[in-house]
Amino acid sequence: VHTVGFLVLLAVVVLGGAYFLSAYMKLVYEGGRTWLSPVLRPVERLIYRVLRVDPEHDMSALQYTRAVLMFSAAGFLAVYLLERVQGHLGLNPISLKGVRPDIAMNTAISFVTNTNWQAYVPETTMSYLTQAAGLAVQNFVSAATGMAVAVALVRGFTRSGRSGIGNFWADLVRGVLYILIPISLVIAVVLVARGSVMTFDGPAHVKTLEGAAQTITRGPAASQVAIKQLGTNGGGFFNANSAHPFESSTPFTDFLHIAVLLLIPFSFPFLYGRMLGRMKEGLAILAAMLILISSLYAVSLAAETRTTPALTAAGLVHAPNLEGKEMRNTVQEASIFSISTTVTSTGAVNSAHDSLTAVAGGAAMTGILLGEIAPGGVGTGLYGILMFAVIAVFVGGLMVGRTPEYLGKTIGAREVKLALIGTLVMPIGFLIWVGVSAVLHDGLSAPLNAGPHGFSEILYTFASVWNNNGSAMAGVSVATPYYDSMTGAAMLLGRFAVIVPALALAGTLAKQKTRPIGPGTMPTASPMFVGLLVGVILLVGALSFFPALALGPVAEALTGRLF
Amino acid sequence: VILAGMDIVYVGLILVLFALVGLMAVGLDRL
Repeated sequence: VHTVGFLVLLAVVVLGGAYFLSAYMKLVYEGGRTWLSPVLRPVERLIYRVLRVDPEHDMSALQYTRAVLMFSAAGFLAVYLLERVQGHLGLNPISLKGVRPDIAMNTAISFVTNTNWQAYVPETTMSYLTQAAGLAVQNFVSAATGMAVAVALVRGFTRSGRSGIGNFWADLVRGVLYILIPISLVIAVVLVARGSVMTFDGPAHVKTLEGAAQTITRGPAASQVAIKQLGTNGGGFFNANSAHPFESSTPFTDFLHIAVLLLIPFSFPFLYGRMLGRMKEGLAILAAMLILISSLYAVSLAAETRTTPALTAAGLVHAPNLEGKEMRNTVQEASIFSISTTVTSTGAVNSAHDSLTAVAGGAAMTGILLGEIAPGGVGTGLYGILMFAVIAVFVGGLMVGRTPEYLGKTIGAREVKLALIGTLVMPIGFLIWVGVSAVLHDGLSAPLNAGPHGFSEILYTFASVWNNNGSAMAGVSVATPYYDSMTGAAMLLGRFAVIVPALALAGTLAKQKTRPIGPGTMPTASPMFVGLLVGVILLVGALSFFPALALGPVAEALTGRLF
Repeated sequence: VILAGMDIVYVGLILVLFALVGLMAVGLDRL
């Protein structure tokens, strides 16, 4: 009953919030006047003047892509440099030295790509300056970049016979200024009020009740924690992430963490419907997302609330899987968190994913491997599922012998090629990376477990980085030059080799004249299309990943043994 | 020396990959 109540409350808060937020987001991305405009419009204009940007300039798809890539490459260089020279800069109370090159590269590209894969221990590696001016800044702008790309793709559907898809700089600035900063400010204040830490003071040195000396790390955490969830970034200020009491202190803040990480991703299908002027189309996409996320919640909860091989061996047959759980959160909440963080591109954790049962770990991995489209990361989820929708329309058109059309746009060879490239880059890259790492000594030396579970740890690692998730089955020692290089390259390609075809698709669709919808057009705001879309997503996922999953979580679950 | 040696290798790796993705964008534009 508690679990059902938790999920119902979560659904009401998230979907209700997303519905209203999407109306505000539509105004923001259209450059309209919002209730924050009197305060923020002058700031926005000042930024454009400093950057010498004309927000009205309509960019072609290639210009938009170039701006995304240049901005992200510059962000990478800035964060890398900051990490390397942090020992010579301020806000470094425990005098941390410069971060070593492979970790600095891995972390910089990780935060620029919205992955927040952390191959380091934050408390003992990053100065407050690096965390606040480097990593937290990227949390904002990388999230806004994903949101901008999604909005650009939707413009592709709404525009007719136009060569432009919007202005990246305007979309970026508006996303950060009007959406991410105000909401994360409110959340950060709430977190501080509920016990999260926010200070530039160094660690506290205390004497415990037993008389022992203890060092308690602190720092400017609450502000970074708020945006890490809101922007589906996921990188913890502390190594224990959302299980750390200074990141999430109470059951209320645990609920808040989950609700906030789902908020913007679920706003996007509503925003899609609003921008199209056809809310039913957005609701169809939302329905597909809800079917997938609900299925994964059910599988994970069923697996986590039953006994495990270790508990059975200890004679406990009626206990849930308590291993790796922060006991302030229930097993059920940890299960819901693990799915919420993997079906979005968040990657924050409030329990140890390496300790999930084989089935629950497989469910989390499935959420990631489906491409994080249910609902996915901020913006990335929508453009990911829309590329699947284009493929579904094409397949549906072939099956019934109709010209494939989606929202009045003809889905021809070029559109299908771009959508296929966008959806297949990740599976191909992921499988190559796993295959190479499963045979090389450097790859095999990282997992700490044997057998199928050890293989699952490698699988999870590359699923996470290729999909810009950032969570890990932490039983992998990835702070090595090999893993830092492989995961660094995967994060970059998993992000930008998908954004590039998505924006090219946006440009192609915008150029097309929109045709009136006739009796021959396949209805896409219908339960049948929702079923077709879910089918295509599962089919691509199953064909791509089932053999790999069979060797990992499936084999582990079938043996019922500990590895 | 703060920056040298391995910095060039790792930064170079990322910049080369950015360049490849940029080429991909040009290629898809002409598809």
